[in-house]
Amino acid sequence: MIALMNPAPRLLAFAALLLLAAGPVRAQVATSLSSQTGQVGVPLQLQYQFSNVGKPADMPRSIMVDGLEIRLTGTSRRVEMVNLQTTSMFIFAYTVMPNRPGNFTIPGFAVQVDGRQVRTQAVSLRVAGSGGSMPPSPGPGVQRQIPGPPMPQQQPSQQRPPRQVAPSGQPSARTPPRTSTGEPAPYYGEIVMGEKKTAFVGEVVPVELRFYFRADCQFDNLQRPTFGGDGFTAAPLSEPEQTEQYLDDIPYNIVTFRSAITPAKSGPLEIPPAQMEGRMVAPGGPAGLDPFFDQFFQNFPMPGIGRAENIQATTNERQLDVQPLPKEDRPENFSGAVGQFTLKASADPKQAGAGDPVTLTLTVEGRGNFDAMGPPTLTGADGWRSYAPKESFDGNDAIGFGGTKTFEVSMVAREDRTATPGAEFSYFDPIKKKYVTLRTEPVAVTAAGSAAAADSTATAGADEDLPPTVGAPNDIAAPATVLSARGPDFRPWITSDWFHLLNFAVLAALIISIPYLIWMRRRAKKDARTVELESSVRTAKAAWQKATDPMEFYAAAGQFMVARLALWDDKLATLVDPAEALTRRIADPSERRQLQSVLAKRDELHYGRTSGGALDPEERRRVTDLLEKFSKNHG
Amino acid sequence: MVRKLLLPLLLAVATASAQPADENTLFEQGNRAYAEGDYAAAREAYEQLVKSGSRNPAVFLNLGHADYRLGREVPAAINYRRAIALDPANTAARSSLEHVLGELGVPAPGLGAAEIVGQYIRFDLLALIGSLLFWAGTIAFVFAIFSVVRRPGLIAAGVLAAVVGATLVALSWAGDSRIALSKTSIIVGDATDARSTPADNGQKLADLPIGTPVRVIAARDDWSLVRLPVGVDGWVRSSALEPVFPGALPVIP
Repeated sequence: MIALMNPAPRLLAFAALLLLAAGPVRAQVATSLSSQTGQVGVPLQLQYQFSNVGKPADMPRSIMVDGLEIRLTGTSRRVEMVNLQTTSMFIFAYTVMPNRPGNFTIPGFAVQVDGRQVRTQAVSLRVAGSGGSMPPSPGPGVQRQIPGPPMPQQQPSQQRPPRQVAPSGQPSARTPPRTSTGEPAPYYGEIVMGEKKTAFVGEVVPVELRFYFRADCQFDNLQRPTFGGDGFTAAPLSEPEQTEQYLDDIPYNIVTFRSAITPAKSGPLEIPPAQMEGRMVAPGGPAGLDPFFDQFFQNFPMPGIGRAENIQATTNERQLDVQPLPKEDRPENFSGAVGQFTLKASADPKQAGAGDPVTLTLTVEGRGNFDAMGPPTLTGADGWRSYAPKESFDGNDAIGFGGTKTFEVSMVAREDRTATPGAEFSYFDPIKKKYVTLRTEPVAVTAAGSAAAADSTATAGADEDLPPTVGAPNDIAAPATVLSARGPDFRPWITSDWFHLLNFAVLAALIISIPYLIWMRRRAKKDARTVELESSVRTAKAAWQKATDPMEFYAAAGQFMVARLALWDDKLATLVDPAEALTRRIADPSERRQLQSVLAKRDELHYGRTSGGALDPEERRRVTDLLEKFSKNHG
Repeated sequence: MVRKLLLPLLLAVATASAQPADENTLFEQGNRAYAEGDYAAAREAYEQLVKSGSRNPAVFLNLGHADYRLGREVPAAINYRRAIALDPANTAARSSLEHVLGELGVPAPGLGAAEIVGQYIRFDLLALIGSLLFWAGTIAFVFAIFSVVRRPGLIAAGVLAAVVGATLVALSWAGDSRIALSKTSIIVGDATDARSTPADNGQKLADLPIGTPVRVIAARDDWSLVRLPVGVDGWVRSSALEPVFPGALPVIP
């Protein structure tokens, strides 16, 4: 559903009008181009309109844009009074003559206005070749507020949009049709196709459906229009664009839909009118109201109050004389493309091993029937195997008329190659009215030949003589003559029993090995302790054998006994209680007592801090014998 | 331990790679018949090879060719698909599939990421390598954890290997078309329809034209419960279905 932007509430506007009748108005500069699209050699009109300011001092006499000739053709001044508001305008009109096709931007520029510098808005223009089928469309009509001193807030309805230049060649747009009472029609439509009278089968003809709605009437519930007919296909309608324009001093909201038609057969083509449904709320009070109040609402319409009426805005019919594509000089590889195009080629990678694909990217750019366009034909494709291309389209307008279509052809070299095939693309140019064949040179690559590709390329029979087409293969590949190395089964290894068994076996082995690893870790730790204790035993033994001082002798003897008991109990030496261990380990009471006496002597000498003089040799021998026996019997 | 498990596996693979003499003979017999234009005899020879357990992509390629020459486009497309699944780098099968699908009016499948990977390494091998890597990493990690000496480098290497291995296994699972299509069958019977119950008098749910892919969910007697492309489940006579990757080649009407 489409909703038209209506002016501000009218009652408020009326009140504001009374209050601010003589108030200042906002200064504006508006740039308008009679059409955003044009043709080589067909002039367009460019206007710069300065409202409510003094005359700009330094407007250029010409504007330099490569490919366009833009010259000042006149200056005028206009004073309008709307709703008791005076508007003064300076209008600078330029003629724009396109010299070549392309996309152009007419740049904005700075001018001095009332001592301030103001910059105009840039506008864009797309130019087709001479005789092109681009329909003129309303100019962008951009407006820019001139920065000025602060001014009181105004109701929006007090600002009247500046007049815009109506599209050239459309007298109907300037003069709205009249109703039976002679009033300008509150709504109507038109199909805009420029000066297009003839077309070729398959040629894309851009069209615009314009629906005009008086801005001083209320419309709502507007639906998307219906458009179509026999003998042609219509592109889906674009999203609507809304502009406002004065026609015969009546403000109209214009809703524009873009589309394109493609004639499917030759002969006279009737393009039926498009229709747009909606609802109009006519000014006036509700039905059955007293004539006095009805007159009041007529004079001072209020939003939401009025007589609702379902409407159907209808365009005019158009006719085209559709001509068939000529049969003479039609290239063999013509695949139905109609329009104007360019062709480019690139390849990636530049080096490919045996069996590696090279992607040849063929880019067709321009305007025309991209939907019906077939892929280019490869030339000099001996030694290459090509596959169906991957197509993509990047449109640069709302209807897919202009854009770039890319064909990515995967190719595998059958033999060693130093360049890709070339490409040919033929189309019919409706402007030149003849077929055009574009060619690209082979792209330098280094590709090694692949036997597999050679096998698959050996197509049978006469197909070999046909030029290779970038599309579905003409036939199936040649049969395999030898069995390849035995490949996998339909059942992937990952789902097979042996694969599961292998993984389960590894998992089981890992789980089983964990207790073993724990035991190994403990054993390693135990081994380290044993080594340490044995070292301690050896050190203590050497110490007591060399000691001459009784304290050193008994200290070493005690260390020897503790280390021996620790080894015996498989404990750390610090965790051994020698008295308890001797009681537990030594069964002979006499031996146990003697050993305990050695420990007691050690403690006595250690805690008493007395050396006790020289060690008695007899005592040394007795203790040594006792420890040797202890070591021998319990080691 | 890994070596002890891997050795018999490699031996089994090497043994399986050898071509049996009768397989070669039967294959050459089929090729001769094909060259002489006796496509029915060629098909019979290739089919015999398949029934005897051959899973050679060349056999499926030539079987597809014989089917195509006999006007059986759908079975031909299925056999080309099988050849591609067995050998993703088989350009002959791919171009033939494109040609047949073009004749059937079915869009040719593009070269997906999985198929591009499959051209360079077999998914089976990828799964095996991933699995071995995963277990090697896990074992290294466990050994490092239980070691008396701290080994942070070994722990990190073990975790990394396990993660990479698991990723490879996941990739092979996700990319292998044999897994993705393991339950997919193609309608090969004329006038096939899906019904609400496994009976001829069941309510008709949909007409299934030849070539329609369906996913088999269950089977009962002569009927299979399939999920249609639109997401509806219905019963179809099993004889009208052709599994894309069968255990053995069924008789196609």
